[in-house]
Amino acid sequence: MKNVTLALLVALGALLGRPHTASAQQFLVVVNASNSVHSISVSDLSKIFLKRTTTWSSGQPAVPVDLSDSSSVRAAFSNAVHGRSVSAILAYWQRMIFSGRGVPPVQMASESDVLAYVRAHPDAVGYVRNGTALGADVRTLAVAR
Amino acid sequence: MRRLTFIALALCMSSTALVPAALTAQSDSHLQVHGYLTQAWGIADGGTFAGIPTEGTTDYRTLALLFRYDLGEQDNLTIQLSHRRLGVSPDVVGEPDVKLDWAYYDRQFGAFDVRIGRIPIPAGIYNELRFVGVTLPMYRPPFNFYMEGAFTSETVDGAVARYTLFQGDAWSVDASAYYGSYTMINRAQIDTQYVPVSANVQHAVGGQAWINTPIDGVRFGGGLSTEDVKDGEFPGRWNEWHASADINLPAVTARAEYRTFGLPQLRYTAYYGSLDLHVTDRFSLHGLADFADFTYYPLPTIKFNKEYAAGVSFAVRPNLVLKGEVHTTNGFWADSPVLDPTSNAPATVRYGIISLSTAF
Repeated sequence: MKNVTLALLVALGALLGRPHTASAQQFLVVVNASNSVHSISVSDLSKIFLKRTTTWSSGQPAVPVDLSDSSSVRAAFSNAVHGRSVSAILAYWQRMIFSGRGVPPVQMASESDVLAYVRAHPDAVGYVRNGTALGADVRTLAVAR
Repeated sequence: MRRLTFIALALCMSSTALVPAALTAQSDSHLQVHGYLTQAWGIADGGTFAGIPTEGTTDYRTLALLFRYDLGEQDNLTIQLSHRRLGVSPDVVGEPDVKLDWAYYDRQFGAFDVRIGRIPIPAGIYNELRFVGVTLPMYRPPFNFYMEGAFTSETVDGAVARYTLFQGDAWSVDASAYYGSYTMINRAQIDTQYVPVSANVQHAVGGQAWINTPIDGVRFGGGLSTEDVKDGEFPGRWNEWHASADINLPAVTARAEYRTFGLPQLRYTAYYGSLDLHVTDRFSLHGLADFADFTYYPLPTIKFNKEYAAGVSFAVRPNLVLKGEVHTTNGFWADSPVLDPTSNAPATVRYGIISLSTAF
């Protein structure tokens, strides 16, 4: 009986749990150097990228920028931050688009495009592969679990 | 002409499916264009259900193009044009090939959002998404609950207001309300045939609230509405309430809804439960049990219709989904045979649908 209970709990955990299969070390979250926010929780970061929150804690509008669907960095980000696969997030956006409730973040084909976008938009937030040279006017945003 | 339309749709679907995901990604433009298409083949046994005849049909699809223009950071204009074919269903006789589905102005005031124009009605889990194949487990939402073609409307001509309470918190509430009018099709039974009859709905007022829980994907909701129905088969003031549970987790999706509406002298009640097992990121199994009861006072309540369905879906890509499903219905919702529920026994109709859905 105990084993059955344990198995059920494990199964429930697997269903409810967020599959943190990717380490946060695989990507860096980047913002414009002028952004006054220096750290953010995983939960709040997820809400910004799903547009459930539209402002930074400072009150400034938050402008997320995604990498393309096929990017391995996006897959790592999606699993670590949203706790869902890229496919699940795309399904979420399809529901939002076709119910007229919203459109997904701007999407960039490459990490250099993400950096250029963040450099040009003071309120933007994006992510790039860990180890990428950020260049001027872009810095990392610490993500707290 | 039909062949040309079919070829054009097939080309549209294949070209959409072949466009790399990166090219369909959204740019930073003020104008965004999205679309969806589902093309299906259906065949029935024992009668015709939802336009699917015993000889089968490929004249079965939904298609829409959505244009959204951002006027500023807080407001936008949205227009959606749609096309639908429903086999040999009597409910869509006279429906134009292309119709203006949505056309509204949307303005946001923080957590408050107001839309004016022709707007999708926020009602239940699926009403705003009822034709978007890539978001649905099966070809259509549960038939007894949402229906299709008759006694229902996806949109209202008027205004919709939304407000998110505790936005960004672990628990939050999405509340919405609408007011306006619309036209819907009713079914009139003449001898052994159904004939579509137009009903004008005035002073439709409704509200709905979803409670979002701290578990991402788990929410519970409910709503109320009332509308003044002119003409049609059942004129009068209709009153309705519904309750919904939506549990959408990475490995499993479980949904259940209950809805009851009617006039003082009659009542229609529908309820369903569905379970989707996401075996892999691409492959899912689907099950549905969907019921409807009908009461015409003082007659006893009739088990109006029950439907059991099972299906599989395979996402070739997130925006290209192949589905197969089988349904068994028993009751009085079939297009044929046309039966009087007060004097005939219910009919059993089985049908199957294979469909391919895409969106961009």
